[in-house]
Amino acid sequence: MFGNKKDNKIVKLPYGLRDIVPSESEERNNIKKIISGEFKKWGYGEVRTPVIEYTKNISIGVGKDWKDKLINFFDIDGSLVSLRSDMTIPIARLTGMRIKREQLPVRFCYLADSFRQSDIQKGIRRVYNQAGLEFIGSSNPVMSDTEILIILINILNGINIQEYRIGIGHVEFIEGLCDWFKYDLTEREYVRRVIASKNFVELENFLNKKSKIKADIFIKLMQPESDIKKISKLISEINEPKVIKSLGYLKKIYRNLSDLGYQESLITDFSIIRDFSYYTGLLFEVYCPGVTSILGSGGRYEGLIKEFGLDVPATGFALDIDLAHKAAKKTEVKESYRILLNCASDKKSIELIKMAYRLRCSNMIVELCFEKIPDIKNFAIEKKFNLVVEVEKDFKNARVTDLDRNIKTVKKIDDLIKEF
Amino acid sequence: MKKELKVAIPKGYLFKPCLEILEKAGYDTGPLAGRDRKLFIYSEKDSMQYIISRPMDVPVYVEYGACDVGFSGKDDLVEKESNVYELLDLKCGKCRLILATLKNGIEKVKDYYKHFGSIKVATSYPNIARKYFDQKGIQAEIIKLYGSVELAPVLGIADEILDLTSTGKTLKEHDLVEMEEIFVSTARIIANITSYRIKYDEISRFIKKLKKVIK
Repeated sequence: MFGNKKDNKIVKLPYGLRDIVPSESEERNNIKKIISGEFKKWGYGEVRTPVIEYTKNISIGVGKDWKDKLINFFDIDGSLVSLRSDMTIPIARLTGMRIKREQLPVRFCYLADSFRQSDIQKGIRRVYNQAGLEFIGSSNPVMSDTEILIILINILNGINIQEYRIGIGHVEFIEGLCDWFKYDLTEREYVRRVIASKNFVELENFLNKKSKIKADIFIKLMQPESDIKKISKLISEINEPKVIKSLGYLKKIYRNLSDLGYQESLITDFSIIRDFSYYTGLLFEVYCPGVTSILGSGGRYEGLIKEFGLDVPATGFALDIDLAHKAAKKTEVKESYRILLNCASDKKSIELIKMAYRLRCSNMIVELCFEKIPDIKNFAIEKKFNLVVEVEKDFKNARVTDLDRNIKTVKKIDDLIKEF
Repeated sequence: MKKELKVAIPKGYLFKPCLEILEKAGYDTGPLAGRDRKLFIYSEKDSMQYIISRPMDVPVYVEYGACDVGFSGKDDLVEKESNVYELLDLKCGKCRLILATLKNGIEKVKDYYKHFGSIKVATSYPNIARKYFDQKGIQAEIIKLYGSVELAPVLGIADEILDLTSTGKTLKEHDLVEMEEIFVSTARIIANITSYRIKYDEISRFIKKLKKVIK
């Protein structure tokens, strides 16, 4: 169907965008169904926001570099508008606009496309299909963060992703370490930048200028660690409130998740820095072998919604559906039985629709064939049908080809319907 | 269970120094030394899968997860801006990225720039060149070449070149003089962002062994 280039016109799409055809779409829908089922069970309600927003609104809370990633246009009145680059900011905007304090907390979820500019050279996509949620306005940060992590883990297990890891960090931890090094603002900015660019060589060189012993501990603390107790040992020398507080916070989250038996996939990683600057507390990322980018990410943001009028804390995450689809081990989906139904006589088309209706009542997928197809058997095999039913002109008998067993028979129509 | 580590090794001038470091760190480099055009080499002893590639492709292999870790020159890392972890400076394979022009040509280039307000630069590092001149506020026309960049001024394709040099011998041979050093490049160990978390134990063991050899 999509393979035959010979008589197709060659049409280009803007780079980084692509079509999704039914075969892939169906698999993705299975994943989405599991995700939205989980969201619903926890009481999250779906929100849909416009794809286009004012640039000045949508760039609140994003980092300097991120602004270059917006895809911008001029509106008819000359104002600058952008395609949304994530769903967190539009949902923060929506919350600030519509939600009253007495309605809090609120739980929102979404399944939506977001758009980001990318390097044409690298051929990276510009559309991100994400499923995510935002838990807004809970006065209990530990429990709301615990809740969203459980949902995330349930989803990863539900869509059958193997050997994934969730790296958990905290924004304040690096701040605390910078306090320990007594760094000024420019030095802090530099430290954050080299960690964000994952350049540990540069980081070590920079830290070494201050103190080799301290630098050694700093670098060790930036490494992924599956045993949180080891980190406690490492920071015993560091008497910085932000370091102690943020590690204490992670420990509470760990304890909650361990009590529920979810600790296995967790690793502590304080080198996690998201490129959205709105995050203020807990941060996490999902990794999976074979998937080169981050499968999902999220965290806590306290100041973002305030920019839109309501000063409330919130926490949330987003999962990349494209990557989740690639990472998900195929689950056995019970395929429906597919029938191709055709009648030799044009005059009987309405009868054919009625017959198809009766077959569909017993959960068959019935595709009608109103046209003459020269080699109907091969056509049906190509399109993965199980059964071809060719009704005779008199509408009493039908030639039935069972493609699974490769058997051809002639049956009475009434008998055929009874069979199903 | 011990997981296998996939390591990208660059061909060319970094190949030898990388092998030396691996050998000193106690890895069996026998299969690599006698590789004889093979691009996949498995070392059973260390459960390491080596993949030999062009130097510029190492960051790409690592970024896209074909390899967990790789040996890469800093020049290629800066040029590619790959989203990978840079874990270790091996302090070998040292060379400098420089701007050069024809001997006695510096004044000419300056005059040319005054007159035309733009210069022509030939390089195999267009991304670095673009950033360097942007940051200096100099308008430059960048011409990408895949090799023998030092020929460009001689042939009159470009006024300047931005290229790698280690001994300066090639520059001299083509009557070129260095104008400015952009940065010094050494070999680095890079890691894939997912592998870094999932195979952290293996990667950190590898790094520790190499670190001992450098210091």
